[in-house]
Amino acid sequence: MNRLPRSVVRRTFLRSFTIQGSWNYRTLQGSGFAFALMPVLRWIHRDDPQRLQESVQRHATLFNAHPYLAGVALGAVARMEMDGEDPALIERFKNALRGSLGTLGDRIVWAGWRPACALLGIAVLLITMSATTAVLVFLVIYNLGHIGLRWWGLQIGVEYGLQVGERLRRAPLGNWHEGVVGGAALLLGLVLPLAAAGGLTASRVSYWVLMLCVAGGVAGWRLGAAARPPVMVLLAVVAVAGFLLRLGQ
Amino acid sequence: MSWFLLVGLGAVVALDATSFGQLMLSRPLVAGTLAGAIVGQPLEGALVGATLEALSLGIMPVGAAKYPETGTAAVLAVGTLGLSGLPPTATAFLLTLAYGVVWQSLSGATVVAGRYINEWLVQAGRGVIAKRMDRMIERRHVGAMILDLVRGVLVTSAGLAFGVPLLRQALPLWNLPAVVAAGAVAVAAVTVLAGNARIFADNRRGAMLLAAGVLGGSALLFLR
Repeated sequence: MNRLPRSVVRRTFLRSFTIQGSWNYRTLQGSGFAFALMPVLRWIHRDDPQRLQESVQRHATLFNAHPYLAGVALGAVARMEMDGEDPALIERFKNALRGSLGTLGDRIVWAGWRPACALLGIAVLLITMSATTAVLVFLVIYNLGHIGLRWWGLQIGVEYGLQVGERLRRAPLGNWHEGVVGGAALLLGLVLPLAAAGGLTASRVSYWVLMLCVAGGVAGWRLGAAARPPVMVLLAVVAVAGFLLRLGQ
Repeated sequence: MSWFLLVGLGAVVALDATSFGQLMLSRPLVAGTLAGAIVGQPLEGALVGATLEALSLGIMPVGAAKYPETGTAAVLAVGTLGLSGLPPTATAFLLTLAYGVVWQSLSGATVVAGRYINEWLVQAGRGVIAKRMDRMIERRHVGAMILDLVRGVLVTSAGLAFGVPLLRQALPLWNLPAVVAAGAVAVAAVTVLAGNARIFADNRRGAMLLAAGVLGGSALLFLR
């Protein structure tokens, strides 16, 4: 088996950070996928410009996945192109993989890693009252996971090609996610009393506000994401009420 | 000078949210702190950013979902507070926050518009295989990112241009005790944050960890 030069893999990795650069409602990440795969395609078809243009055209069609895990598909497709697989098989493979990568990434990153790191940042801010520490803790820890996941995804894609699905199933992502979600629950609990005590406005609040916070916390727990719209309305009502009282005087 | 730096930050943050990087410079906690540093109020910026972060923690950019753009909103909310020259009281926090929440939705609408422009951009002239299809895709992809950068400039400029005079006019007219403003922010943040318990604490283990966290946070308050 021929191997892709490391410089080509590196360029694809860097370009994968822009995979959503031309995100649109028709091809979704399609153009971004072709853009990120370009160094690979140029290297494989370096002696055949016509085939290069045809393969670029094939890869600029509909594609969507979680941006951090799109590297799995990029790596696997790069490997399959290297191995000279049938274009129809590559297309079917991309279609089969994209849904799983989207669901998996949404679950472990958007519903796990990102909110957990954000809660850690908020907790550090409310405990230390140091903006720099909070932001550095958030950015460094989050991006260790983020960039590590992107690099790992691309590597297993290149290494396993068509068999990458099997490799993904063996990865301990589920256990990792369980740990992250547990940490997020702990941090959420830590942040709630600090926010209720007025930490977010650096001011002291009265006991009736604390009671309202407890009631709000219980209502939020019961309502879940549905709690957000009425809370936005509440904020707007309080903001407007301050002006209406002035007018009434 | 601060105005230009804020607009530049807004552009970078808009780009980071979807198009380039997603290093989370666009999270309100980070964007608010950086904006605060520009206007000389990093802690106040971080607190406004953290509140916007708490209010948007459960929003997930899944698939083709339309969602508010929180990063540019944090930049222009904190920028509005800093450039207005008003003291960062709880009342100023509340009004700034409300302004940021409104702009999140407006800014989110410009993201959707940008995606329709991208659709036109990447599809134009795609009927036949161009001689240099590779170059064409690269140019248009980079072009779309530049458009997103420009969108960030426009959104942040408009938000600041409208927000600074508005806050200067509005704050003296607000007529409720500061404790009401601080209370409204606290109740709003706690209610929305608690909504995330459905995601993180939907089983016995999660509920136990959440309870342990609440005890830990309460203990910290008593120790202060």
